[in-house]
Amino acid sequence: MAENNATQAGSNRRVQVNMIVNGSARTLTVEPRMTLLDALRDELGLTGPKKSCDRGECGACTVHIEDRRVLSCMTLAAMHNGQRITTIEGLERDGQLHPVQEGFIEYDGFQCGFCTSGQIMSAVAMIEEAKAGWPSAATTDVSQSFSVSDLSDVEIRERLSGNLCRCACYPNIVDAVAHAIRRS
Amino acid sequence: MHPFTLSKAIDPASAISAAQDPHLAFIAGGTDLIGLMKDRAELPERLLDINGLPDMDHIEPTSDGGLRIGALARMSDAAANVEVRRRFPVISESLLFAASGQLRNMASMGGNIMQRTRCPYFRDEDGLPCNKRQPGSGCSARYGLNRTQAIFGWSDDCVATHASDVAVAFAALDANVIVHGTTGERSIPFTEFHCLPGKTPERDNVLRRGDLIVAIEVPARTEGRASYYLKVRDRQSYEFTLVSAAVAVAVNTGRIMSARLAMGGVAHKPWRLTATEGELRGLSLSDVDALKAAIATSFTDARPLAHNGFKVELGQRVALRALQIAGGRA
Amino acid sequence: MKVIGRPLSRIEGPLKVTGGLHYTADIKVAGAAQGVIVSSTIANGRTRSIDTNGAERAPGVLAVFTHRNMPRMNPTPKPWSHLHPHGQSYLPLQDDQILYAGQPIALVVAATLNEATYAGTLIKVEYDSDPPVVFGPETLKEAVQPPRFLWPVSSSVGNADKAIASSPVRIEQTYSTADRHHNPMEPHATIATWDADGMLTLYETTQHIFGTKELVSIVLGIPPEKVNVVCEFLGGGFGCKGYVWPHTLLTALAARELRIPVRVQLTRAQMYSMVGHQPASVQTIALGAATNGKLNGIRHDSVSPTSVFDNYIEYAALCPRSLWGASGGIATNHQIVHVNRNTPTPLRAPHEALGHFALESALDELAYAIGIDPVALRLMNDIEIDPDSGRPFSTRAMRKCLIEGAARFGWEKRTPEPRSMRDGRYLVGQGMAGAIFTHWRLPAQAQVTLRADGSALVEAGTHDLGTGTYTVMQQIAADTLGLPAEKVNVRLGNTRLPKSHPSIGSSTMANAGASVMLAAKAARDKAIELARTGEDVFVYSNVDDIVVRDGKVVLEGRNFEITYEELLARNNISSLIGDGNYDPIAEGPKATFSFSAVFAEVHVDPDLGLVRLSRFVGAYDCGRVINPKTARSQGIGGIIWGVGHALLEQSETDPATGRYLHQNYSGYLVPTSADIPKLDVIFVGEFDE
Repeated sequence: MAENNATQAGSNRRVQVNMIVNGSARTLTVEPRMTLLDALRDELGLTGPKKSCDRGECGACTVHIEDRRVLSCMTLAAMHNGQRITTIEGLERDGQLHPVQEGFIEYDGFQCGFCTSGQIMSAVAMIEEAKAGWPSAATTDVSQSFSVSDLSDVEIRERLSGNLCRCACYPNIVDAVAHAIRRS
Repeated sequence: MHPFTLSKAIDPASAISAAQDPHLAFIAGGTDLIGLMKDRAELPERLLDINGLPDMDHIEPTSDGGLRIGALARMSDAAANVEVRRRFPVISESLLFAASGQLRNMASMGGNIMQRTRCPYFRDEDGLPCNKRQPGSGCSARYGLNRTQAIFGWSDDCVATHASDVAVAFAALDANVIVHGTTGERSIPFTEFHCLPGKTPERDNVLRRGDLIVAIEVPARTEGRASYYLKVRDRQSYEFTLVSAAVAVAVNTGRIMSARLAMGGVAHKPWRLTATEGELRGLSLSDVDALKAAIATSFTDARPLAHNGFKVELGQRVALRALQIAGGRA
Repeated sequence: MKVIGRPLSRIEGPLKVTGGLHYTADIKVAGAAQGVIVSSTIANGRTRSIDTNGAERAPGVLAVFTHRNMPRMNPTPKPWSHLHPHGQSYLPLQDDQILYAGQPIALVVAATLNEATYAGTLIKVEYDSDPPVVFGPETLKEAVQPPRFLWPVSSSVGNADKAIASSPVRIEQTYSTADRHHNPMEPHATIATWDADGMLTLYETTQHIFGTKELVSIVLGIPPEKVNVVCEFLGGGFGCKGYVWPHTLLTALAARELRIPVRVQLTRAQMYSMVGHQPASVQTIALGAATNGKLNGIRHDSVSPTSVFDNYIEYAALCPRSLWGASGGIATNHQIVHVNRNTPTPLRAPHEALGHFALESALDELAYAIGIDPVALRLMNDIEIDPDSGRPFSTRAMRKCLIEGAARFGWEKRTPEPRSMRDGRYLVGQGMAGAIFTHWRLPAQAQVTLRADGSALVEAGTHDLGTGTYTVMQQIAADTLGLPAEKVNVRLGNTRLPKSHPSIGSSTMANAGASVMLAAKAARDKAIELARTGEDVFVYSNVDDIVVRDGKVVLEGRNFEITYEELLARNNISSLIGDGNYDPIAEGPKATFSFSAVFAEVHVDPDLGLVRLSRFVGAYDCGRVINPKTARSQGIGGIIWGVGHALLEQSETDPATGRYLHQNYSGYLVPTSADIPKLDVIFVGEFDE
């Protein structure tokens, strides 16, 4: 039993992780089994990303790692040493809301708001993906080039389909994102 | 989750050596492994982060006109890659129809083809009887709720299906899985990579302890550009396959010169419609009856379960639609 | 400028888009330990033994509770009432019985979540297991007539069976619906903390703070004054957060035993078995009509399953009691079947809403049998007197819903023959339905404080679960007080505030809103009174000539006014407080409901069997709309819930184990954004006094 505890203690031994979170260098000491989501919320107090399913099936925990949208519940904090993390709290620039954030307010892209952080982080990165020419499952011919001007409502809906909303604001979310695209 | 240690692999040789340990697992994207650990289907004591291994994330053309996709390339990068989209649209499409934008950014190509079944009895965190999870405990799906399970190649010990979409495309294109292991490098034909359940459903694929997938190579083919992936599922997006088809054809003046068809959602591995491929040679793309008959030859040995009989008919229709669309791209 | 009726953006919008809004699980309570509930893997039997030794010795573990050491709870009160709303009568960790799969059998409390979760997996349980009783064709035969719950279990006006039997056109059909789960994005969570004086503070994900307070006090055996429940923002409820569930009681008791705050957040899997669900139903409809479509008789019977220990009734057959006229008679009845499952609970939209699928489908079949347009059939059977109560409807704009909705949809372009409309390879189908929903009349209190700086504070113990409550209360108070909206702050979601009703059944706007209006009026009247005790022109004026606007008390026509700030300052008063007590009589002289007519178009891929929504128009009569922006969002939400219900959501129970097979978002399918096209929502109702 003592050996068992020692093994567990050894397995549980915390490791140091250095990340740049919302522009600030942060050092965390966490167990390897701690997800990035739990580390952001519980160790750094950034409660914007939400735990809704904890299985990568809803998108509520979406953050950016090196500007790419990812599900923070499905990765370990300790795997991201040296990387740049952005949460919803870090989206504003000098007190200015991002056009997607503004769009959500204007078009009522939320009701209860629990999925909103993930929706916005997903949409912001999605726009960059489109600018990089990435097609989607809604693109009729992937062999052709794609540009952000090809982002129709159908494209936006497909690209954001990884963010569930149970209050069900989807049409408003699409309008908010379309507005942000026009503005940017 | 249970406690485990995490370390970082610095080179393939030491990674392979470390993985001789049966309690060690590689972690790349983690998008399947972390879910499996949370559901307690896999409980490795040691994780080895292989994301830093050099030169394993490139997507590059090969000299013969094919493609080499590094095992650490992310699904999203592979899907968006211009060469992938031009030479083999079916690969890009099968990736884009899978998961979600976020997951595609995280998941590696190597991890994707190794993902484990979505059978709900396997995934249940309370450990229902499941021979794949616990050999000898029984197969809950065999006589349980099996709408999403197999119609081909199943055994009484396991009726699960393989969940990867791009694996279906790779199977159709006769890709090869390039593996480094204790005996050096070897190339495994994709259609031989995944196993049928038989009496050993705990085995998903032929990899041995310590094996490291380094790349997936798709040889140049005449059937490449005229290819298409059709995925049928209950909702429009963000859902695993119910039935899917990857088709690649070479067409000359409306006649099929050669065809490659593989199906997803119907077996423990991507299911090549080999009999159909033979029958299709020489057929006109507009001769729908003949195309249907050719497809039907691969379904004569379908063995539906109590709740998935619809897959036999649906599978044939999916194959036909995918064939027609792929043919239209020729 | 008046703000009622204007599409104001939500007050808390900026917080929601920047991650600044704190939901229950975001709240940091210093020193809180983490609790994880372990549940039964069987559905029927008992735990023969629970070995918690390994769990207790695991790193970080503070305690492991089972039925052997969990303190005793008092039984839930009878009869059931919204005043003390238990979600189920069977209390957790009190004995060794297992009555449903997913039933809590242990609570592990540890320093961190990972430690608690892992320790839970070390608990070794041995079960004596019996085959589970599940809902199906065999158990349907065991249906029984239940005791009354919210409404009469059966109803009969006239003689429906006779009217149907003697009708030239008859439709008889059975419709089934599947088990469904609420699945709000925010899982339930409780943070329980006791202070030295025995005061329990519960941060709880609830849409019924006062009911929670009351029920917790009864079950835990403490005075209600010793319980404070807080929920300022809720991440969706849809019904499952309107009732008190095992996790709340367990967390509170664990915190008391350990003398530290304890935090529990349910996992997504636990959201299926621990917080209610909508039960499946088997509904039989019989219609009798004249050859012109005029209904003679309606019979609607519904059977739904419930737990072995509760008589929950899903009142699907409530639907035809007031929706359409049937001159010969309307009869309805409900039965239940006891099976091994958790107790069901209302789910958006509950009761009569579930029955619409059956009734409106039957009416559609009737329309086809007769060869009459489905909209014309509804218009023909529109009524002004409620058949159930015999009272006239207070307002009923069903006609407008049908006509305007149909026009907006382009219903007249439809060809009724099945398979007659195409769009490329797709078959195009169009359908419509009428709907009714109960108007709940519930007591509510509020307080409005006019402050020295000329701003106002609204305080009410009601809830915002995404419904826009903060904003509409601001609008109501602002208009009543004649203040610009930005000068009104709103505080909700705390049992220290004036007592209000549960936010269920779309009742908050009408009831809690009324209490806020009354409170604002009282504050305003005090301001006016204060003005009239001063030394100026107000004193000699007629009170009817005094109005409030733009933050001032104004004597109309005399160009005399005084700001609120000046008024209070002059009188050396720091605030004026108005109390609002809305106490509606249960039944007024009129029957009050909301109505709608909805129109859908789907594209069907006939080869692959795929059904996708392509268009939708919803026309709603819900009285005066206070905020068209948030109301429209509610309309959209309701439509998407309907899409999920019709096309996607189906919970399967494994017959061998009695467990829900898909306790996650990947197997239980809710609509994604890709499933939903543009939706058109219009409001055609008027103010209903």
